Amino acid sequence: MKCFDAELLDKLPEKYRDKLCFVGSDTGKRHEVTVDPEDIREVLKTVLEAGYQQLVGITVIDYPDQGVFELVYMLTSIDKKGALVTIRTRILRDNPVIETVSDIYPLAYYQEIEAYEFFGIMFRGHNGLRQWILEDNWAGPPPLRKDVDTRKIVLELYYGGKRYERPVQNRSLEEHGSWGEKQ
Amino acid sequence: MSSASRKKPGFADWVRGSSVWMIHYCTACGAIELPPNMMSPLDLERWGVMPAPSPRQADVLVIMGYVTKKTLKVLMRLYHQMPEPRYVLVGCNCPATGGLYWDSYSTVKAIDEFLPVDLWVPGCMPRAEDWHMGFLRLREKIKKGDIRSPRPIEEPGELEEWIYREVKLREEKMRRERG
Amino acid sequence: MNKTVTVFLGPQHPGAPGNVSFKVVLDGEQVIDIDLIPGFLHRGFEKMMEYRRWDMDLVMSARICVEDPDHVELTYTHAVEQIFGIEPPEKAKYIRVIVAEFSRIASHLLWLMHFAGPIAARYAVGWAIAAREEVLKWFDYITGHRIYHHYIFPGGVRWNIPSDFKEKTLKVLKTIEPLVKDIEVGFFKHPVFQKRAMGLGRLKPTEAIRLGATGPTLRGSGICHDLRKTLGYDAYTELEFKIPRGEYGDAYDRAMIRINEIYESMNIIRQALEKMPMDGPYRWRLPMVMPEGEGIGRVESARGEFVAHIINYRGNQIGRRSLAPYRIKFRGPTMPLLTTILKYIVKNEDITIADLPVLIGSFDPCPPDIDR
Repeated sequence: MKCFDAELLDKLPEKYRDKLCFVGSDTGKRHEVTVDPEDIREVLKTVLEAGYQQLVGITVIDYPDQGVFELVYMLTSIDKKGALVTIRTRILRDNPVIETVSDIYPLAYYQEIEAYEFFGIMFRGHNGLRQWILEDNWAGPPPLRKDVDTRKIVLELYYGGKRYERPVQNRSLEEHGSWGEKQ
Repeated sequence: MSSASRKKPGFADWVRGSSVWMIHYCTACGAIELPPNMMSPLDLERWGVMPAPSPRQADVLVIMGYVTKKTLKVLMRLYHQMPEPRYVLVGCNCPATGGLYWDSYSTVKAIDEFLPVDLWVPGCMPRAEDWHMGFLRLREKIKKGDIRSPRPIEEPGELEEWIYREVKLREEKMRRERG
Repeated sequence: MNKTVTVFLGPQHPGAPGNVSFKVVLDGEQVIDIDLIPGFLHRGFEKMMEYRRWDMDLVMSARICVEDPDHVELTYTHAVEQIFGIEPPEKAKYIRVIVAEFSRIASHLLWLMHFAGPIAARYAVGWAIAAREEVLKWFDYITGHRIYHHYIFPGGVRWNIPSDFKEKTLKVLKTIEPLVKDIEVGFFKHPVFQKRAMGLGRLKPTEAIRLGATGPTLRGSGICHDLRKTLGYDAYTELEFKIPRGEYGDAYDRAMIRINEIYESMNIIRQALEKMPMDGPYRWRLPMVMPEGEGIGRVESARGEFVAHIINYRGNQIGRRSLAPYRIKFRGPTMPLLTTILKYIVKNEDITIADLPVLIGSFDPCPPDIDR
């Protein structure tokens, strides 16, 4: 499909110029391009110059059958009436390393901390990768990966392995019966 | 918990039940239905319930909504800082049996294993009138002497021991950081 | 001699906006640095949603932001409808607009509690909660629940509206309007409030864009950007309304914008009630199996831009049910407010520790947005 943003088309590097396409419907209309993970910093710098000044978020998708993580960077522009651009890259699942973009977009600092703690992706050049939301909540493998089955872990830890006959449901009838008559 | 432990209600119980101060801590979801209770339609301040800013001045710890493991550590420290006699009021389905987040890896399914609970207010979420009835029933329970304090602490289970250990480690870390 | 002190503005504090903690570095009374410590409200939504069907996920998605749940349902609905490739019927679009605008009014009235509480103006809080009670009763009348409605559903709205919808809605608006006027005259024109809020936390326009601000924070700095006008979803393209904006970018401007937005919302509701078609379908029924695809939903919630990114893929199913969506990501508007913008303002302006709750309250944060 043809794209409508001439400024973005001019500023992109040569090898991605014909891969830019316009997809989506309703509020999801966006320009989209797939890049290699080595060029991500260069491409994002040109997108920033083209007028897309805000990073909305970094979505990480796990494809275990293809052996990749897919990173989707969503960027919007205020001058261009809220237009959206998504940049997609793929990195290998066994050794997920990619460059950081937190000096280009300030919000990427915190979105990359999230990607690290939920998926285990290392960002080169980032000096604050740690467990930020999951601190004290979860000590284990990165939970959003597809091969970590958190439902099974929770069932074994809290419910004794069974889903429908949880011991926690029978407990309160016996103990609280003698603590006052009705209340 | 037999009837031999229930003593006759005296004047001290009546006084304690008439002015129950809660800690000013909005734990989670269910805290949205407390402002209509504290203020306009259902005025709880006429019953003597006031949000106190510090745990040292509070009587009741109100747990409104789901409890994550990180919040649980804060709650246990708050509970230990409250002076006796202290009570615990738990609202919403999530801390009672797990509720909507029954397969979540970071919420606590039964708060009863960690804190001795006096009153449950069920619902998701309980309406403002339900919270109101919860506070009134707590007052009646205190006045009748149905709640005995200090309470014997049960043998801590494996999860509880882990949480206690985490709280101690965290306190040492904070002591080191703050000097 | 000048030693800095690190304090935790912890989760249990009357000035904290909810269940979050801040690590504040002080030099005397002045705040030098601030760090956010989230995680007290983390439930693991994105993992739990991969185990449930797409309509059960709507119930879970409403609980992400507790003060303004309808906009989260709306953005999830938009993303799912993009994957299915359908548009809701006309009547449903207008009903969605009315429900969303009432949710915005209720959220702004609750914001007053977090903002006027630290200034110790509890009389305004009492009026705002009383006005909010009328809105919650209206929600109970239409949808059946006061806080979490689950009314906006992919395909339309869930139930039909009753026959006295117009009279009841206009009566609710008529009841709220004098209370809002009282708040505006009694609180916003009070000299104590103006002294405390004017000049506090100034945010320049270029910095606001660079740091990722959206919503009333961005409009307070003078930039007129509202997704209801620029993107135009549901029935907003056929309604006329103004976008209030500020000039200076301090806490006073951000507060005045929200009061003006309440008036504009009431205007929108009145217009939508007149233009709404009373006959016609209100819901298309959708199949249980979601096709492959990708959808991005963006709405303008009471705090800023709320984005939902849903991906469905039929590849190798490891450890999940086959009817569940493959990956759902939400990004709430509070994340840039409490992390990048707060840090920038604290580093570049003189903020004392007594002003910190007022400054945080002027951004209107909703902590469950950050750690869903």
